[in-house]
Amino acid sequence: MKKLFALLMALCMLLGMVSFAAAEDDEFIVGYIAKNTVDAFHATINNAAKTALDALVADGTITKWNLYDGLTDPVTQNNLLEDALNMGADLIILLPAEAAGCAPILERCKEENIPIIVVNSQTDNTAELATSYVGSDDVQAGEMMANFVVEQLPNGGGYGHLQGIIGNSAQIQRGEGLHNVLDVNDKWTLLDGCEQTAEWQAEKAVKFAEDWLAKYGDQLNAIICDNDDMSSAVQAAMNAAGRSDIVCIGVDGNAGPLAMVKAGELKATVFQDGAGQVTTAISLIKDIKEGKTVEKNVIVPFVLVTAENVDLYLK
Amino acid sequence: MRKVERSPRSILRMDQTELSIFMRRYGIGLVMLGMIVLLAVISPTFRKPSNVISILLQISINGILALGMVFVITAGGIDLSIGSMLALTSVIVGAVLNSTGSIALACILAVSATTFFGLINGLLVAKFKMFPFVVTLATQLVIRGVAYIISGGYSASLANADFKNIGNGKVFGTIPIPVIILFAVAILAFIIMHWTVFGRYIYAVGGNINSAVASGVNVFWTRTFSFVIMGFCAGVAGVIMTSRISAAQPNIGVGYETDAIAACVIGGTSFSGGIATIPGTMFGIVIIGLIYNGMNLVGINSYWQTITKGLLIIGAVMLDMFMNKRK
Repeated sequence: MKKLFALLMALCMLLGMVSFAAAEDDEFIVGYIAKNTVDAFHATINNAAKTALDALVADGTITKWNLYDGLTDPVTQNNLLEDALNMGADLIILLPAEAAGCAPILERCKEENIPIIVVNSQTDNTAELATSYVGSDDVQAGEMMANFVVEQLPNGGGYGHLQGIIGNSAQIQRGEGLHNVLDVNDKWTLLDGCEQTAEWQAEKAVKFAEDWLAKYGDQLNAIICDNDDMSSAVQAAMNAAGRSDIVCIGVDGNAGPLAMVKAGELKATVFQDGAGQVTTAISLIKDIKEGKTVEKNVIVPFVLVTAENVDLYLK
Repeated sequence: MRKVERSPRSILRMDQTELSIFMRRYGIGLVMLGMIVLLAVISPTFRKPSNVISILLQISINGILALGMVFVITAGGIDLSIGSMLALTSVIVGAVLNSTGSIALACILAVSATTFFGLINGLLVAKFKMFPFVVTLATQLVIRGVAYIISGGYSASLANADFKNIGNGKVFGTIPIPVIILFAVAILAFIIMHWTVFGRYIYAVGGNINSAVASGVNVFWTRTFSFVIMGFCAGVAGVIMTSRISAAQPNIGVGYETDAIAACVIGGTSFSGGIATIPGTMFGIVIIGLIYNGMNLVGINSYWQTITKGLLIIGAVMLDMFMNKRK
C-alpha cells in the first residue's frame, strides 16, 4: 500500500516536472462553457455555436475550440473555467447557470486578462467585467407575455404564474416584466397561491396548474410560464380538461411548443433567438482577437410567435 | 489516539476482511494509476502543474462529502440529504455574513446547522429504526425548504470580500486552501476510521449488527454519530462551495450526493456495510475527478462522462460482490 502511494506521488511529481510550457503563441483557443447540454433550448444554442465556431476554425480565425458542459451548476462552471485556462484558452464564451454564482468566473478571467463574452443571461458583474454581453432583455419577454394575455382576454380575470428556478436572471426579469404590466391592470389579479416555481420543468408545471384548476375553476383564465416547455405542457393539460379557453404562454420557442402553435393547440409562444444570440457572440471573436473594441451590450430581440408567423420558426 | 489491537478485531473476524480490503484497495489504486498514466500520455495539458492543482481543487468539495459519506455507508446507512445541506450552509453563511460581517460566526453557525441536521438524520435512523434512505430522502426536502425560507428564494452575493479566500485563496501561492482542508479532513477521517474504537464500532455495526450488539457495541450512538460526521462534512464542503461561487444560493448542491456515494463505492466501500477504507475512498474521489477533468481535456462529450461514471460504479460493485464471494 505504502509503496503504491509512494509510487503515485513520485509519478505525479515527475509528470509535474516534465510538463510542457504553455501553448504556442500563434494559437487562438476558444473555451465555450455551456450552461448545459440537455435542455432543448440550450441544445439549439450549442448546435448553433458548433456551426459558427467550426466555421471560424475553417477560416483560420481560431485554432480550435472546446465545449465544456456546465451541468446547470455554477460550481461546475467555475471548475470548467480552470480546465479551459489550463487548456490555454485565449477567449471564453460563457452561458451562465446563475447570476451570482457565476460572477467569480468573470473575475478570474479579468485576473488572467482573458476576454470573456457572456451569452444569453447575465451574471451580477457582467456590466463591468464582460468584454461583451449578447442576450435578450428578459423584462421585454415578460411584458410581451402579459400584453398577449391582456389582448386575448380583454375582460380580464385571474392568472397564475409558473416560475423557472428561483435566482436565475431569466426567472427574475421575466417575472418583473410580467408584473410591470399586470400589476397596474385592474382587470387582472394574481390568484392567491398561484405564483410558484416549477423549476422550468413541464411535469411539475402541470401538477401545479391542475391543482389550481381544481381550486379556482372558472376564476382561472390565464397561466403565464417562464418557459414554454412549461406553458405548452400546461396548455395541453388544460385543453384535455376541456378548458382550452385558458391562455397559456411562455418563452423560448422550443420545437414542441412551436408545433403546438402550428397545430392551433397553443395560441402563442415568445421566441427567444438563442441561436441568434450565440452566433452574434461568436461573430465578435474576430474583432476581439484583433484588439478592436466591440459593443458592450448586444440585444437580440424576442419575437411573439402565433399561428401567423410560426412557419418562419419551425424547422 | 490509541491503536486498537488484535482482541476486538478477532471477535468481529476482521482479519479475513482485512485481506480482501487490501486487495480491493490495491485494485482501485491500479485503476487510478492507469488513468493517470493514460491521461498524461494523451493530453499535454494534463501534465501541467496548474492542471494537477485544479484537479485537486475540483475534487475538494466532493472529496469532503465522500469522506463523510464513507462513515455513513460503512455503518450500514446512506445519506441523500447532503445536497440540500450544501444549500442550507450557503444561505446561512450568506445571511450571517451579510448581517454581521463575521466570517467565523457565519462558518460556525452554518456548520452547526448541518451537523444538527446530521444528528436528526441519525436519531431518526438509530432511534426509530427507520430506513436511512427514506429518512434522508425526506429530510433532504425539509432542509431544502428551510434553505428557501431563510433566503426567501433569492440568491445573494456576499458582501465580505475576505470570505472568498476560503475557496479561492492559496497557501504559498500555489496550493488552494480547499485542498488543504480536504487533506486535513482526510487525515482526520483516517484516524477516526482506522485508529479509534469508534472506527472499529462503525465497521462492526455495518458488518454484522447482531454480533456488534453481542460484543457490547453501542449501536445507537455509533449509527447516530456516523450521520453527525456526515452533517459536519457537508457543512465544511458547503462553506467552501459558497466561497468558491461567492454567493449564497438556496438552489445549489442538487445531485451532489450522487458523486459522493459514487466516490465511496468506486473506492471499495461496500453497500452492505462494514467494509471501507479511507485511502480507498480517496482513490475513488480522485478517479471521479479524473473522469471529469480528463474527459474535458481530451474533449470527450459530457454525455460520455456520465456513462463512464455509471459504468465505473457498476464495475466497482461487481468487484465488491466478487470479493465478498471469495471471502
